[in-house]
Amino acid sequence: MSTRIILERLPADPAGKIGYQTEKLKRHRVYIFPTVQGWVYGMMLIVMLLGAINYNNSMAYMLCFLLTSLALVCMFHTYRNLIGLIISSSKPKSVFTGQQALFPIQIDNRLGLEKFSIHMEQRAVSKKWFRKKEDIEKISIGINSGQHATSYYPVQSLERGILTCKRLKISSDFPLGLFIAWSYFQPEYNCLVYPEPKGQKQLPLHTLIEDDADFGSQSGTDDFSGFRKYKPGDPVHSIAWKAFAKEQGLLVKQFSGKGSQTLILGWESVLHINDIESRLSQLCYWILLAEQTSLHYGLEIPGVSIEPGHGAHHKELCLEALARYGNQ
Amino acid sequence: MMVKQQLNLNKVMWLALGVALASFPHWQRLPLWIPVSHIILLVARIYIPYQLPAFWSQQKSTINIVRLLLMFSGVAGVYGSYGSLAGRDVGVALLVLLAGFKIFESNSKRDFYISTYLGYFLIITNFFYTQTIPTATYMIFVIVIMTAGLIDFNDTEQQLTLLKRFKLSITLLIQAVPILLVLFILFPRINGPLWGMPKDAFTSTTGITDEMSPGTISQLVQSNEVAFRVTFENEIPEQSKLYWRGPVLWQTDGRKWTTGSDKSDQLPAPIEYTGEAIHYDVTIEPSNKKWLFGLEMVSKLPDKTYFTNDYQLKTRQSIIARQAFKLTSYSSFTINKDEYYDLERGLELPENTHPKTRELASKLRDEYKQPSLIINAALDWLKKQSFVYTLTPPLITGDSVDEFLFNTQQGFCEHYAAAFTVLMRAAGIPTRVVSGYQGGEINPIGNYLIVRQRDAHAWTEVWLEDQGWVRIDPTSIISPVRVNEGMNNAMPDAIIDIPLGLDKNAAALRLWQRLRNTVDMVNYQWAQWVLGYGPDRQKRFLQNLGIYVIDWKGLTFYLFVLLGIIVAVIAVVIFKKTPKTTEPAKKYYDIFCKKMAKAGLARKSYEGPIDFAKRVSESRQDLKNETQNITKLYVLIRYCSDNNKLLQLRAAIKSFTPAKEI
Repeated sequence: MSTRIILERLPADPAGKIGYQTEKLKRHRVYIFPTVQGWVYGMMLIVMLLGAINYNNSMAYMLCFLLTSLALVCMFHTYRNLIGLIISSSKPKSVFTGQQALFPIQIDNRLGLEKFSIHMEQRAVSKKWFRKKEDIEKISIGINSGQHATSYYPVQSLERGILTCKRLKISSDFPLGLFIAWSYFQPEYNCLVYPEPKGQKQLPLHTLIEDDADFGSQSGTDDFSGFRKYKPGDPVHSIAWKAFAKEQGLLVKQFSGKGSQTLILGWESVLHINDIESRLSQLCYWILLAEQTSLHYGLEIPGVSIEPGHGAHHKELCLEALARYGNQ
Repeated sequence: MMVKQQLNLNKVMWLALGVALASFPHWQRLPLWIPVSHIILLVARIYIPYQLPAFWSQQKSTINIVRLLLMFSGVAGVYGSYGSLAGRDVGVALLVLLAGFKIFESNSKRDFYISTYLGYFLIITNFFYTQTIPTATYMIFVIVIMTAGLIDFNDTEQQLTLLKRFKLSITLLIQAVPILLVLFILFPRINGPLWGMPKDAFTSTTGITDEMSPGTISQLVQSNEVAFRVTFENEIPEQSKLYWRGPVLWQTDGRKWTTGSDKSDQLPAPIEYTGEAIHYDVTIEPSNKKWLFGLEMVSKLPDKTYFTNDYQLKTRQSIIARQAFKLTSYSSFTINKDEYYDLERGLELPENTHPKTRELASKLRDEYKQPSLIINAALDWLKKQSFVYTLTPPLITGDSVDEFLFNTQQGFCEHYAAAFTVLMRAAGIPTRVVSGYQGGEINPIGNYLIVRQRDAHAWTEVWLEDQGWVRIDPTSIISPVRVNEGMNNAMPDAIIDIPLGLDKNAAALRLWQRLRNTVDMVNYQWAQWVLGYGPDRQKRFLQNLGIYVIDWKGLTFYLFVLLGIIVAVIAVVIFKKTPKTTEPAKKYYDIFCKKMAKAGLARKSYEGPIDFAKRVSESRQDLKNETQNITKLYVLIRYCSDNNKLLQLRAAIKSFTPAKEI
């Protein structure tokens, strides 16, 4: 079970009150402070008060005090809008360099009232104060009482490797925008960033190895030979959808032929490229191509050697090896 | 999911609606072009960017230049209309105009908030003109809309329907009320102003002035405006004793009467009070003048007031806001019995005027010799002549007193008072004119007296040896009803405060009067307790609560303690709110569980309805059938979506009354 946090007032509520596996929840304090609009509102109240005193005007006093009280009440509403949320993260889907990584954030609102406009944003790590606000992705979500929702925090991947999502500021300034309540959450999982697939479009066919034996069960592509049960990793396009529609379960069409061809994508086939990242990009492209053309392929790069194989799972294994190349 | 910075049509509409409603009451007070430009700007902001988006985005810079030019010419226009850029009215004109321009250029979150705050300022400026209950109610409505606009702005995911937005807005405001009350009651009040007020902060109001010429009072009489209200500690004295003393007029040019040279540095003339004291509170409406109207004759001066030499009760500062005073009067008194002080002033007449009156005066003096006899003879003479008490006397040309006394013989109180004074002075008796109010209308609902402008009156005082200044009201000779029964009965035709047609139906008239009295009573209480809640009333109110606080420090202490408590209570209310179940079956079942818990059988948190029913059936045979029936219905509705059974479930639970276990 991954780490989950619950946003709370401090000191912590007695565990019993929540009546819910509290030992698995980390308590996070919620902070609250006036927003810029809130400070300006405060200044407006002071001007109004001076006017009321100067003119001895009771209704001006009334308005000034009503708006003051409204701000106080609003503060509690803003705070309430955040507490009681249970937040957790799950593993984001791997992306290719240049794509946007989406970090899934699960927000569970089983304890509280309906939550409005919860914002999530990464804290600007760069100390540059002039950095424009728009550069930081901000996402918002609302959740009904007793519901949970997943929202995806987008982070642009800039380089191959492991992309972490920085600490997220989870905030709310609902209902009036005069106060902002916030807490922090660190998404637990990192996102794997594969190399950008690019380079020569042709597979290095000189490494092609003809299989001697006919495995039979190994998939050929020529002649249809029957069905077998679906195993995870089988290519989607080989599933017999017609059979599935007849409620016969997930079956995979099998083809026999003279066996499949096996390709070893090795470091030596990209040695002619100088830049390591470009080599990885080339390999990445080839892996995708080989998977598409239903070839068997293996990967051999320094430190990693993957036996030839085929299928979505195999592809991911190979791409992961590329992504982790150099920093495990 | 992305937060949009640009304002969409919906948000702009909210903003424009709130600000337009807040400025609406000002429209009638401003030159027509200002509200018109205000509305055009709002409509343009709503219309152009959404209907003509291409024009709006491509011509941005042109629009901006035109906007700036218009704005400067608008400010110049305000200067042109008012001849200045300072003062209350100008401030409001600028605020209305600039709020329009601000909304027109609004394009960001910051603009949205600034425009909203301008809207709040527009609301507060309304209160500098009027603070009545209808105004306050209307402004609450505007605040609800503006708050809903803010909620809409921050509801970025648009989770709330229009109705729910209003509901939340109202909820927030209701929750704010207790805190508002604590602040209003306990916030230390200071007597303003902190700095100078604009000259036009208080426009002149109708009321009695220090000048009187034929027609001034009869004009006032046509106004139904309230001058002041009086609450007596004991019984309300009879109508004919209610002389509310105002300016005392000494000097005349033959037509116009004035107070003459200011004698405020002189001590009040010696006075003796006899008889019973009358204690009462006067709440005076703003008159922008310094007279405080007390029952003749006030004995104890309230704070910040003084007597002039001739017993005008004056405040040190003009009465610019509704103000309450605690007064004590005696109905019998003697002023300036022995001293001959200022008596020459009471004999002055402009030379070569009123020959006929002087002739009559010398005739009376020669015949009666003694001042008191002369006075009686003069009053007799008035009675015997065919004088008419009327609001619409014929126009007098020439010598106003002579013409009135010997020719037209029709007039209102100011004619009688002036003519009588001239006659007495000509006869050698020191006499002065006193203006003020006479009588008043009793409001039986609040048991207080309302004195209106139409009760304005003028009478005279003559000086007699051993008796001092004595009140003589010549009007009472001509029209005794005026003094004994009040203005309403003396001139019912002149008083138009009854809706047309109602005067024919007695029951409807009674109802109308009752209604009017209730409204006035509510207004009076509002004026006293809300609008008049200043330093003095705050002190009195807190003393009634048993809090004897002397200074603002003590008050601040109480304020913070009470504020802390109230805020804590509100916080608990807000935080303890639990999600309401929207499932009707669950709602009924919860009631069932509550009833069970009362009977000593609480459902455990881990227990499903069926398990619970089983446990109940085992331990309580008497409840077995009913419990099983209810549980079966509940399970059918909740888990088999059999909603037809809902009414059955409700009935079963309603009639279910489990007995406590013995």
